[in-house]
Amino acid sequence: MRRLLALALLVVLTSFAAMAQQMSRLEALYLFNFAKNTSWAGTDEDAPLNIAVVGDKAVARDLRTITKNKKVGSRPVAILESASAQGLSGVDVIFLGGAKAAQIETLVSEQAGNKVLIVSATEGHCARGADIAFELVRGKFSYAISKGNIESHGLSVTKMLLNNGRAL
Amino acid sequence: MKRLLSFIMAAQVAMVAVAQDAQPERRLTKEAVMAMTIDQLGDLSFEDLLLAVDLLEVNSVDELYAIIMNKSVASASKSVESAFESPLATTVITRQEMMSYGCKSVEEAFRLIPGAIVTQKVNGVFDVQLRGLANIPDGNLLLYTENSNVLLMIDGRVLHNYSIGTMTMENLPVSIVDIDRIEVVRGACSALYGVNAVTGVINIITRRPSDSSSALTVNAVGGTRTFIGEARLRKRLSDKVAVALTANYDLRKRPDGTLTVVQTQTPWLADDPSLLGQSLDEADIAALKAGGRLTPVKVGQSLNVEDFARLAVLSPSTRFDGSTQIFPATPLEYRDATLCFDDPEIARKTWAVNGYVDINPSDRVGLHLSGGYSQSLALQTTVMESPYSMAFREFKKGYVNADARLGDLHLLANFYAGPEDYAVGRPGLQADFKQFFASAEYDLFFGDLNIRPGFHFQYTNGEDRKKSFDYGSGAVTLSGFFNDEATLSAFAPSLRLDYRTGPWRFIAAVRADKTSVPDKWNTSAQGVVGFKASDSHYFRINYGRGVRSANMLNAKSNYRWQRTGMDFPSVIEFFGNEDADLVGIHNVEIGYRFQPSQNLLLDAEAFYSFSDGYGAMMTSDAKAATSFGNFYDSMNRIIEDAGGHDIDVRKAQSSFMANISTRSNSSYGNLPYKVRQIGLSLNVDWVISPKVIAKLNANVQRTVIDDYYLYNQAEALHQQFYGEDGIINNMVDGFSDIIYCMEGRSADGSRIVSTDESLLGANLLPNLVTLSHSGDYEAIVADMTPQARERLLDVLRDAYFTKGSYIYDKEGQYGPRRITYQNSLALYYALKYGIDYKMAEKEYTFSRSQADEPARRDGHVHKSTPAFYGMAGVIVKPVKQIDISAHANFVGRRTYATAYGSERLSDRLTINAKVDYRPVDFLTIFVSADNLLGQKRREFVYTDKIGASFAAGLRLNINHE
Repeated sequence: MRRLLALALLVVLTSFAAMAQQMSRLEALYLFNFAKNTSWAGTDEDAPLNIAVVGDKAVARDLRTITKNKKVGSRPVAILESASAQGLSGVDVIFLGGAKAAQIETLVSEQAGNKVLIVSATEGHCARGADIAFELVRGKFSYAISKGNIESHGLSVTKMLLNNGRAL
Repeated sequence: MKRLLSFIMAAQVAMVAVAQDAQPERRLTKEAVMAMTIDQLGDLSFEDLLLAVDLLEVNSVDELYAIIMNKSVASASKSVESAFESPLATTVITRQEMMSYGCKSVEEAFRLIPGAIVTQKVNGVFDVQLRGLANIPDGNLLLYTENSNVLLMIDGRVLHNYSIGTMTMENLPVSIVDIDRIEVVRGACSALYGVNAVTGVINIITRRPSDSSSALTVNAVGGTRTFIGEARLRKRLSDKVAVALTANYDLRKRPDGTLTVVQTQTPWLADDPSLLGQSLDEADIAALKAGGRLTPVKVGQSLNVEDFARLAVLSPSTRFDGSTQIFPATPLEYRDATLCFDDPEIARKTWAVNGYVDINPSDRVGLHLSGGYSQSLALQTTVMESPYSMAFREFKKGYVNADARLGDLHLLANFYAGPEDYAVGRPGLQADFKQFFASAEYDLFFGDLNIRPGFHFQYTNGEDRKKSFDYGSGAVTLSGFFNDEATLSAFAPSLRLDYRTGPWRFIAAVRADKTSVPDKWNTSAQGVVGFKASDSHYFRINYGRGVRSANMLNAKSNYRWQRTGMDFPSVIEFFGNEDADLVGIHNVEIGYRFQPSQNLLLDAEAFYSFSDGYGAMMTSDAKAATSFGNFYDSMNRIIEDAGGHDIDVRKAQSSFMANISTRSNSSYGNLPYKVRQIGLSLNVDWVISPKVIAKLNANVQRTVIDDYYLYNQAEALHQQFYGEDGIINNMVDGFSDIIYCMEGRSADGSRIVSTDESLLGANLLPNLVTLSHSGDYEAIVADMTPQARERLLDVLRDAYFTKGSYIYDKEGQYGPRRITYQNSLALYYALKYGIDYKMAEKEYTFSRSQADEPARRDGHVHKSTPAFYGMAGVIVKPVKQIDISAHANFVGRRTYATAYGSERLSDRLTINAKVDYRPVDFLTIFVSADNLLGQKRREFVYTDKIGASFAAGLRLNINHE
């Protein structure tokens, strides 16, 4: 009986789920859609829309794949990778990866008043100044969105974006 | 006809075409989405992307990943971060995992945590340890088998039991329905959390009303001797305010109402209470045994509650005439054990109500309030000596908490109060307690450096002056825990530095606790280095110091155990010691986390710790004395027995000896032990597929004590009175002098006679003082003529038997000491019978320095913590509506040395299983089985043998979002 139970508890190699990094893909897909659903009025419509990815190589890689040959409005998309959230300028969207969560304060402080959409991978960062923060709601991948923070950056987003996230 | 048929067919085709058009075209299908590349997914509109995510059931996989792998944890470094990058030995168990594995209570959830040793004492009452180090020192009260090394918190506020210092969880006001997750940090971390984080910290994080969570949750479980009901109601009143209300009730019963016998001497069961107290010679005792009237009982055996009134031990009679006395094992005041066990079949009966309010006026400001009331009655390990190993503890607590965030400032305050009774029905272990905690921490950020200064305050007050006990014959006030008001308090500044640069993380923390007892500063430090080599590899090394606080029992006890009717000593007094050292530990560990893929996580840690400062209640001094008062009582008895005839010297002797008061003192003291522990833990979390999740943890450890000797408190007590240099032996020798005196001889064989007539008259009374206390009595009375002596006796008789006592104390006038009524009568009898009554005031003492301390030795292997323990579990989701889980827990063999002897607990493998069925989204029905193998061995020392049990229940989860 014991052996049977021990076997039942042994790890059975049936199949592995695909090693696809679903989380980074989801984040990249959502980021691109956040950019598409933001009004960039007042910015140069011909200049590339620069998305800075801080501290997450996988998201940067997936974003490059997604945005290749695509545009946000009339603007082509350029992806920049950065190891630090400090000193970022000339960007339209900044994604703060989980590994760099501690830099949220610095990031928010430096980008105060700039037309920059700040998106964070870390739950709860809207309370610390991010415009959008990914989170899990009842185990489902989703995001929290702060209209107030977005407006403080001189931006506005579509109602669809506001309605599909958890509005703060 | 053909035309009609053609028309009908055309019409049908047209109708089908219309019907198809009427259905909304389903643009996306699961298959279509699965076939898409990421590039193609990027072409979808946001709306379609959300639909695609739903179709793929990506959420369930992510749910698994998120639940199992990507947990966020707040406790470890005190800021929210992913558990993978937690710099300390951290484990998070979510409510979902608890329910999946069939945990019916919070304590059962700890079985899933590496390093946790969870054993069930009675149904629903557990001992939970992290890494061990319990029952140090051994050979003592059962109290020390309990865990005193883990700091328990709810939402970051301390919930430590400052009364006896152990972690008691049955009086937690929260139950599974209140909980979001439990975060466990292993290893010493007092610099981060304060005193009592010796082997780790348990932080229970509750669900916030403002979280998007279900509006109504109801759990109900019924089964083998188990009934649990829990409910949670949550409502969002506005964007900024949300409230929740919870209630829980937990009733567990035992297989039977028996209690386990524990005794320091061989126990016997008398067939009739009338045997108790009798002194019999050897032959009579042997006859009782042979006739089955005295039956031997083993320590560890179970008896019915009513039988304890007849439990006895055999010891030399207090008459010191060579006979054996059948002493009751319980003092008279609670010899009827039904006074202490109204319903001995109850294992646990607890209930609580809690209210929560979340107020979030803005993103940067939040206030979380909670409050509640709980009552718990649980069968738990005894705190002091008793003939049974367990007693009911009853707690009634009300509490209020406030948790405020104002930007980067975090404030916590918490107050709870209520009576605690550590032995229902037994006098002296009850008090009213109140505790207050407050802390303030502020986050400062300088680039990648986070500095967090903090200040913390703790105050605990216990009071038992008004406690009294009524056994039906009128209120009897007996000794309490402190017989006073006792307070323990501390304040502590702290500083934490957290610096991240690239893959490196450095944490340094210091904390200094200024405790009221002992009155000194206790500092602790923490140093942690974490290195994220890649997304898959994380290394960490950590040093931490932990300090265990003083508690009321060790520091403030002033407890008098009246052993009415029992063998020597008749009184044992327990004293706290405010100057004792505190247990302190240094812990070093290295850890490595490996996540080769999103669905597999391995976590290994190795640690080494050194601790000392252990202590326990230890017998110190003992005293046997008789006094003038006792002498008078004895003489009165002797005279009554004589009935006008000559005194029977032998009877007189035994009567005299029976009035000796004997007392032993115990006080909390330190032992020289130096404890080293080395251990290794491995944890594996594996989401094998979306339908199969596995979990495993394995732990090994070895605890070694240097400068060790087994201090058995019971043996030390026995040696005080009955050892070769013990009091009884010395006393018997010493009091033989009195026997001579009763026969009319002084110690040197001469007779005490003669009085001096000149001493009588007006000056008699002052001279009486002089006589009785100056020590010159012998010289003075030796000169008295027989006639003068007779007149002195007449005066005394007149003073005390006709006019009453008018010899009163006039401090300073007649001398520094009082002449009591009894003292003067003692003088009367001494003169009457020619006894040197000065010899009647004798005192025999035994001090610890006389005890033969056994030789210390190094390298003693401590066996109360298992060398190997762990668990393995799996959850299988064959279809969406069904979850099947099973987990096996293994706890290796242990040996507990206590004051009652050594109890060996063998290896134990417990297998539990559960099946959940969800016919609809909001309802889960389940059946579960615990201890499927039906093992009926004890999991904990001298507690119940709990076999298999089964339960069924339902869980309702209704959302109003």
